[in-house]
Amino acid sequence: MATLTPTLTLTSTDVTGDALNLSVTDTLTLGANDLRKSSIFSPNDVDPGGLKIFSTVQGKSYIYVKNIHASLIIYLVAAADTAESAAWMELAAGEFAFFPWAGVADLFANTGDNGAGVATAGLEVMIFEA
Amino acid sequence: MATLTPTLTLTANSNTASSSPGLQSDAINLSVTDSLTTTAPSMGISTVASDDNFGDGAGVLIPEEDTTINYVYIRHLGVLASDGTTATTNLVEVDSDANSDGFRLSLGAGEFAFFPLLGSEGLRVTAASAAVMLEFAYWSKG
Repeated sequence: MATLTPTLTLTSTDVTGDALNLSVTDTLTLGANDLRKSSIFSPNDVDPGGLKIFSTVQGKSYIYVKNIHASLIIYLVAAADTAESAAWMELAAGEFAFFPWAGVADLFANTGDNGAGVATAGLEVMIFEA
Repeated sequence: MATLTPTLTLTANSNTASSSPGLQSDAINLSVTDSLTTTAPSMGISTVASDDNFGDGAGVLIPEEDTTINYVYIRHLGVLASDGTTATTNLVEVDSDANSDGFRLSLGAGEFAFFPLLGSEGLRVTAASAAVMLEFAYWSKG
């Protein structure tokens, strides 16, 4: 068993009248397989659902994603469907996310249904199997 | 308009460390940050029960009628909603209020998530059994 320590800090001086300064951390014990995948993907708008970045075979996993493309939006979809209406997460350039995926659905990444093209080397992904 | 600055750090020791060994021979020390422009409406850091009803149904924290992109923070506080103090490991599922796109997060005690939720998805939480307390906030993308 291995240990992963994520820490999230949220700060702002103007989202509300009082300043925001939140910091949370956790100690995650990873699964017996100790699976860690670090990948760079090039999501497109052509394949059904775009590129599969996670398979349910891995079960519950902690997933980090970051849009490292200069300009294109990248969508995350839990189905083989490139329609933007099928997506649940929209990552603009530079945005990132960290979440515990339940592992009951595959996860795909694409650039949408608007002919945006290929986000070459545009998505950084790290997956840690729970 | 306002600015929200999220910073995420992921750390793990190498797998040869004597204390809290990590996954592989190389340690992980990843830190990313961003500067997000936000606008109203927003919900600041709040404590809610997984079965609270804010007018859109039990457990619905963001209704699907909300068409804006929201930056969402949610954390399982590890205590039952019944008294706010009894420790629990009840899992909390996080999915869409519209419940049509199949995304599903699973929060264990102490676990958290931060992500930009697409508009018209909504956000719904469901505890595996007894309701638990959650820390939750969201900010509309500006």
